[in-house]
Amino acid sequence: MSTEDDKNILTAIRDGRNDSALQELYRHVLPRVKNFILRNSGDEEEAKDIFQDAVMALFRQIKSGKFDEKYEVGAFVFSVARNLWINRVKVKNRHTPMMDLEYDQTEEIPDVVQNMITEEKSKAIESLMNQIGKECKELLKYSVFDGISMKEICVKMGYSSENVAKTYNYRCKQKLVTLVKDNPQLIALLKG
Amino acid sequence: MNPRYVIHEEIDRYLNGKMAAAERRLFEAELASNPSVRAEFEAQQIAHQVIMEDSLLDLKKQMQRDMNGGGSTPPSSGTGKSYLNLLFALGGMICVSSLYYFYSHKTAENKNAPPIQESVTIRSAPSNEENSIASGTSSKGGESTVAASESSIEVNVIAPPGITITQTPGSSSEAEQPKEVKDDKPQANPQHTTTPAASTTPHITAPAQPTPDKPAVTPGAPEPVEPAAETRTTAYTFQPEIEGNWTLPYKENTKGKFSIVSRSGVTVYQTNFSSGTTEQWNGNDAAGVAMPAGYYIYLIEYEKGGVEKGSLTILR
Repeated sequence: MSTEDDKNILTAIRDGRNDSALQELYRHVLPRVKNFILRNSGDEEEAKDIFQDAVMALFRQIKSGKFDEKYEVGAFVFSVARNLWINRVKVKNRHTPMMDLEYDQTEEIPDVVQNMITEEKSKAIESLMNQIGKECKELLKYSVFDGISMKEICVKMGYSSENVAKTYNYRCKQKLVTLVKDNPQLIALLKG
Repeated sequence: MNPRYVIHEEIDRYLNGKMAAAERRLFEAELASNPSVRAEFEAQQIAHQVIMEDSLLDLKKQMQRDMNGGGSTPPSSGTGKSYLNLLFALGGMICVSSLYYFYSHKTAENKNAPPIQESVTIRSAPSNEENSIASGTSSKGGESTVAASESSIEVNVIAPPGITITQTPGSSSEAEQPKEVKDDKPQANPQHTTTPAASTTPHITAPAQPTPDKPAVTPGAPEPVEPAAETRTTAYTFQPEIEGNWTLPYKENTKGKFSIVSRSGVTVYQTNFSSGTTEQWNGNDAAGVAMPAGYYIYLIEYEKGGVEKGSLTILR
């Protein structure tokens, strides 16, 4: 994967063009991840799952502004996937020797592996987001996750003006903030 | 402007990393000194985290959709097309195999179970009529019931496997079965008492038992048989340059057809195998062209019925 591909993926994710970023990742990184996992006692399904989690970690890092640009995107995803797989194999207690460890990145990937979302968390999050309604969910995804402008949101959501979009965005977020405040369990879960 | 809105906007800009360094420091100082702003900030930060994680979960779902069926790298162009093709191909395979199962089962049943069918017609015809008419036709009915009772030994032989099959798969069919038997028995008994031959044979309930069994066999029987063969999906990898040949993973001493289908639904290799031999594939198609690295599906159709499929990843 060239550095240009790398940059393309990075900007695509930053600009909220998730689809094109995913396509690039499928093409350039997925085969490597798959190859590694299949050669280390994993199967197709496990390879897909690990790749998906690694891509989630990449998006999480970039979207929250924590991504260190000294990493290449492809190498980052591969390293995270490798670490995730090593962890999973350890958990499974499979005494299988790992073959492909020669691909050793000297820099350690930050604690992304520890930050992986748990089943418990994701259930709590999904139920909370269901409570604020479909429209709010979509709107907040655009404004917070994709980080696209109110002007674009206006077009995507079919609002009459930027101000309408802003107002809705504010209301939706307040709705969610109120729900969060009423849910100390979730706060503990996410902080912990 | 609503002061809460202003604070919200500030927090938002901070969280989205849109503040310059100086502004950031000011805001952080404000956070440290103002507990109400801090409380608001924390709630909003968690709300952001919730939105982020929820969107990431959606992203994972999207990836799962992208990869499902195709199983591997969908190329950026024409993704939908090849994906659809594969879906159709898979759907077709499933349709054909299930049809084949249904058909082969039905013919097998017809061969094995003529006495059962006979007893159905006997019982259902007189049960709609008056008793007198039933006794009038008793010569006919008697003959055939005798035939049925004669063959009842045979029926009993056939019935046990039928019963054991239907009873094993699920409690729901088990629950229905005795009910049907109960419903049938009172109907069957009064008729048979009119015919002297039948009344003496308490065994006559035996043909009645397999009958409720019969409709249960059709939906019930393919279930335990089919999944055993069908769900044996295995993922294989094959590196032609290193391994040379891939030994086709069909069951020993069987006959059938082996196909390898590419992600876009093209059959790249097909061979018939027979018992006692092992077939191998070198990774080339019929024209001798080396197949590119990637994801393929293999399909084994056994001559005696049963389909196995799985994936084959070619690494080059």
